[in-house]
Amino acid sequence: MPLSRIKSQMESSQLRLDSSAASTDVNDRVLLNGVDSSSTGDGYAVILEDATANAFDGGPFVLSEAPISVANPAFRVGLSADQTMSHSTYTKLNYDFVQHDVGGYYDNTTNYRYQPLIAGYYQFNVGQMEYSNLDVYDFIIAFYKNGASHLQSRLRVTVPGVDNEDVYASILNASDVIHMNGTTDYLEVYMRSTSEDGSGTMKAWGGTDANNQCFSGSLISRTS
Amino acid sequence: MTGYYTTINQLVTKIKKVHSSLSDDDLNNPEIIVLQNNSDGRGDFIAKWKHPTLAKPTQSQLDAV
Repeated sequence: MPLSRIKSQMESSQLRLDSSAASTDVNDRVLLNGVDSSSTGDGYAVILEDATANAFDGGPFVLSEAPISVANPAFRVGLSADQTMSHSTYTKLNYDFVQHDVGGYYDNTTNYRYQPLIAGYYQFNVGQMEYSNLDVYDFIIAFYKNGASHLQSRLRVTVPGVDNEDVYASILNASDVIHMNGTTDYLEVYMRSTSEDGSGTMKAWGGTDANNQCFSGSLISRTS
Repeated sequence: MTGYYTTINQLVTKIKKVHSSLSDDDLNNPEIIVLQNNSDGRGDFIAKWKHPTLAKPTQSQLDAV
């Protein structure tokens, strides 16, 4: 189409992708400021249809209905106080201190888990300080999805001929992109500390300043 | 509750007594043995035991030590 014809149509605030077709046909139209007699009226309309003239709905978008705005889920939580655990035992960290929780999907009172009700791929992060001070030489942080280990991050220090290795006060981080089904899937964080002494009460650092530990996440791509 | 131990280190201590030959490397290898606590008040339990030569301790063995 010559530019002059496009320009004239643009000036009338109407760009038709298939101007010979009715508004409900394939290859529809984009009306930026409808002035025709159709129901679009003033304003704008984007109408997409498939070859059978059905509205093109599906996936995360519903184009046949007025759009709705749903806040993108995001959260950041921490331990309000130190949490103790047994030597060399994977222990769920009960992150109870909520800094933000858009959507309200984090349970900080009963199960201490993130269970979003919007399906999609989520970016999850955790950073946790080991705080046992008991010659800890093996430190693990893990994401558990639906009660099973999903991803682990491990710091292990063994130096031949050297005793009392200690990763005390070290912060271990883990991150992953994990699909959550928006109904039953949930994510938790576990920690394991192993002391060279083979005993003692192990400890995860906690505190409301949340500077040395946090569990966070956000939705990055919806799937429904 | 059977199989659960709420006192810190009670389970790992019992396991070491039942299997005195169990090495720290095996005990601390998550591909072989996983001790777990779901922080639900029930306590520590054996979540995985795949040691090539030592059998998973029975409840009676753990109770006896």
